Amino acid sequence: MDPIAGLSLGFANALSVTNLGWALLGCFLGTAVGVLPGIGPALTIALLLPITFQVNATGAFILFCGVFYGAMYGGSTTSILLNTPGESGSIITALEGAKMARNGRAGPALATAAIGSFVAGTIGTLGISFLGPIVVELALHLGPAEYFSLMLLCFVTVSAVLGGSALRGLASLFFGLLLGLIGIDLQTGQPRLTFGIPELLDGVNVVLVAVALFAVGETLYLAWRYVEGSQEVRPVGRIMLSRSDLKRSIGPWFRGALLGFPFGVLPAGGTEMPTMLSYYAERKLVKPEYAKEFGTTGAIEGVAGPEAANNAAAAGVLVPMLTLGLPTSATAAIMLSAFQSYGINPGPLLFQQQADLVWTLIASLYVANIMLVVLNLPLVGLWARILKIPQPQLYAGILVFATIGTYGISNSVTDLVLLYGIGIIAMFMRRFDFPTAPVVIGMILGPMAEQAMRQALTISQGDWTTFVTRPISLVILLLALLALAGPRLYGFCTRRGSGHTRDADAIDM
Amino acid sequence: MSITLPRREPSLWPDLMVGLFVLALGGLALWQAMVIPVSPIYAQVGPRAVPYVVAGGMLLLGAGLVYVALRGGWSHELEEMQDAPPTNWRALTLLGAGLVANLALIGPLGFSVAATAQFVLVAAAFGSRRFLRDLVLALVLTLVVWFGFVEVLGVNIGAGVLEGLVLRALGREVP
Repeated sequence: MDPIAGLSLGFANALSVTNLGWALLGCFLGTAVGVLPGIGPALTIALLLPITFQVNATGAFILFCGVFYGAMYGGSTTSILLNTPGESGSIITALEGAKMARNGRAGPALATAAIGSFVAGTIGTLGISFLGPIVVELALHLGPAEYFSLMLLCFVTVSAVLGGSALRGLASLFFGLLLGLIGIDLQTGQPRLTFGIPELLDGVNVVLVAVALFAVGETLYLAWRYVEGSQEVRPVGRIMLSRSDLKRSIGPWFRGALLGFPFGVLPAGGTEMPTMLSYYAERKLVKPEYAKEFGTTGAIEGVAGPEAANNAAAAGVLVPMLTLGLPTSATAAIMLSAFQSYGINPGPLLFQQQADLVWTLIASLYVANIMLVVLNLPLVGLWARILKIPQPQLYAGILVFATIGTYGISNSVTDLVLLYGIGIIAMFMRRFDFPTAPVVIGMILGPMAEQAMRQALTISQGDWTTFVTRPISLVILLLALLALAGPRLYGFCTRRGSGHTRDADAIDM
Repeated sequence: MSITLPRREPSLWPDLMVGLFVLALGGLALWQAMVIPVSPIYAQVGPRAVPYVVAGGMLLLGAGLVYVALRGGWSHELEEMQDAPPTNWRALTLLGAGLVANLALIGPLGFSVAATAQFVLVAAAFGSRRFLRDLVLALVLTLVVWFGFVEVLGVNIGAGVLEGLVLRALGREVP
């Protein structure tokens, strides 16, 4: 189906009262969890997964995508008013945004973030609508061997390319792969890595792992380093953009969006890189008369660009998720497991077999963007009030949700023990700078990769060279190798050339 | 080889323990991979192949981490560790007590009682001193959450002591 026909079908469905309701609920929840420090979209969607037993797939995914988009909008509010970024994508926003807030310009900062998110979200969604079908066309030519190589590339980029160290990123990934192996082998029916514990025969539930990593581990780590005292929330002030603010924001919005989207689409799905690049670009491109605002009173360009890049990258992540079934962020991985619980396999066939669902979902993304800009501009005072929830009750409340989300899976105390055990590991991962997203991605994608590998080898009758003799597969594998070795080779060369260059361009926080 | 001593020698132990833990995890995985029964069903790739690869990878990564730890580790490079406050044992102990209370109570007394005990202890861990207010807040929150998950999301969580009381007060059947 071509994008125009698809979208008109999608909008006809998305504008029904029920679907509008799901979108509004998702946007509202998403903004709230985005604003609240300590919880994000991955955890929220994991806790909402039981809804898949009650609601049809379309409604559930409109809700999930609303949460996903909403969290991106909400994250900027926390960065600006509290100077504690909730998600990795809003770290850069906090640099200039918090400085603007300190100088009484929180209003324009929030406004440029919200409108920038809208511009970028819309551009990103347009990207999904028109790029999606093209990727599907290409993906239909891929066999299991290519898929397996693609998954390997995905593993490498999410764990070894981003973050502080390839060694620690890969260790996180392998921990996830290990968790994914637990349970009955689907092809031969043999129990694997169950330690003889019957509860583990069904495998480890992804909700449990997400809750352990994102709620229990996070809370434990906060307690470890806890210092009493309340954080100061900056006053919001008047939400408006002066003519000069608007003029200064428009360029960064579009540049940020165009920079962010491709990063989201590539399996290197991450929001740190595009937001940082956008920040540097705006700092270089800023008019000389405003240049001194960077790092001092806070420059609006430094909020508008990275925030747009963040949202466009988040939208881009949905392209490989919907067209290839490849999750490149923790949130996308959880959404993928939601698809699985409906018995739907995301991938190229999704666009053909579930055209209704896909296009309704995409149309809802446009709707969600409009809802979110309304929710976030006039109602920003409400979200600022959420930030005043005192920390003791906030973290205690998060653990209540963590408990019921996990206990609800099978009413088993064993699950809770596992939850706390993985939570303690997650606390140490946080302390020793191991990224957590690769755990979730490895756990979801690992079993899919094993299946693709076995299918490919069945087709090739056990010939392992199939992965390197098929040209597309070979190219993808070479890319993975490059992604793994490239940064290190580059680092090695520059270190020999000019000493410690890395420290020189570190951002002064 | 000349050894330069920094003024404050950072301890190697924490990073080393992490590396050893990853190695141990790899060893555990290897042992579990070896005891996977070989399937009578013919398969091009048996059930053991991938577990072996993952276990092997984990062992390699663990060895790598140990190597890095022995060469000075990575903790001291982390920005977050530069001015990290000291371990808050009080907060950790109370939080741990909250989790243990939840584990102990959720079976016999049900979700709301267990989660309320947990809430009060966790709030205290993060410095709350208003015990009674937390208790009331926790009771309301846990009951609302229980009804929300059971009625709206349709999650099956057995009614405990408190949930039963509320259901009876509403004139409803206790499942």
